[in-house]
Amino acid sequence: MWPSVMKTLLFLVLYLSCTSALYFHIGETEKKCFIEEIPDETMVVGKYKTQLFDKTINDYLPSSPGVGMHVEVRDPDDKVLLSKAYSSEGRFTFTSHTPGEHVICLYSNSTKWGLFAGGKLRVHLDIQVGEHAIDYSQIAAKDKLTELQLRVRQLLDQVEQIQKEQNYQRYREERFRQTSESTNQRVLWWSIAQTIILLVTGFWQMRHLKSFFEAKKLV
Amino acid sequence: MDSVSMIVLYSVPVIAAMMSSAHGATLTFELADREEMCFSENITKPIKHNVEYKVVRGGNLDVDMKVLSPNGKMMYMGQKKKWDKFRIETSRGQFNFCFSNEFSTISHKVIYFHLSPDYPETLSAKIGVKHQAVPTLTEVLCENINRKIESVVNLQRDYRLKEAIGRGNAEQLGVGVLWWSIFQTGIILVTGMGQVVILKTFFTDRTPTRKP
Repeated sequence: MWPSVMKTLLFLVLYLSCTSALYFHIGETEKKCFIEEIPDETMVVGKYKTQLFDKTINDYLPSSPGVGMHVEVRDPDDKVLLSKAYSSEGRFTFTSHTPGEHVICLYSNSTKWGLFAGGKLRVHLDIQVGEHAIDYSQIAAKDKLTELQLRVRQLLDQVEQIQKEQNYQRYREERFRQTSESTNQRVLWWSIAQTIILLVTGFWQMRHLKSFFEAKKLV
Repeated sequence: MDSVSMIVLYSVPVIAAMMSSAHGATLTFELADREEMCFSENITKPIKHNVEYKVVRGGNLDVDMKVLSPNGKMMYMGQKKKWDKFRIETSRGQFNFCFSNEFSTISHKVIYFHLSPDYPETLSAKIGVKHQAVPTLTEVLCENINRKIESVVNLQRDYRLKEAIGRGNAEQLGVGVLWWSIFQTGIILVTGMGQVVILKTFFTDRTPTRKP
């Protein structure tokens, strides 16, 4: 009996941290994507909960387990990091390996609910990044930390995240400089190419006209 | 399912309602052309909330945004704005934050949206401690450090967004320049050939009319 209670408690902890979340509505086959621009080695935790409209009580109710969501995460190189189907309520985590824009897409797997809910599914979504994604109550319990130690740990994680962000800034700066340098090169070559085009056109004009006038015996 | 876990499970919504977490929400999403996207939040505590939005990419970097209170009153309305930051007085209930790209027919936009309660997020609030005894000096210091760190994090976020907007602009400019130069090459070639053709017609058209 106790393991199941523990499992429920764990579920409860997950549920609790999901309380305050923005929600939105999606249609049957609609796909909603969210972008997270994050440094590398950053943990992202997303939690969602779906609800269906119930006509009898005129409100949204937790949807049946049959309603599922498909979560897909792509990294900046467009490689799939995570692609998994979940039930009506779920929690997904991933850690970034390359810095940049990660795209998180959610779409529903079934079309069953579309008939009675006016085609709309309510999705509560909460995405936490970096140190916000860390579950401190678990850490405190596991490492047996005092409250003060836990606070210092929190600060440490925050500083670490700042450092990662700083590294990402440096990475972006480097990339931007590379882009600028390549742009500069391209502009240079392009202006040379354009000058050549201009000269060739002029030369062709003159030669063509000359032969034309000669053929017409105007000169 | 046994009875104990049943009790625990049924008490979940109650406890969940009691614990309203303090952290805000930050989302960056795509908004297709002619589309409207609304986000809602059930606000449980009537406190001020900070709202911020920015168009990161797409078109002229503008979007329509409105905030609707639970009774349907318009609390904020921004038309074709690039970004805005404001504070709203909230009551309990469902607030709607709507972004509309209905005026745009071709450009697909990426929008950053941030909503957070207007009070500093303390370390203890982050781990779910609701009220505590008189804090010790060390704890107060920790909270001070936390506040400073939070401001650094916010500045970094602003910087990252500005950079993303700048990058988007640069990419757009790059594409623009590419197409313009292709177009210009076309112009040069067409003008070059056109000149010759026109010049030739001057001489070929006249000769038959003059000679007889």
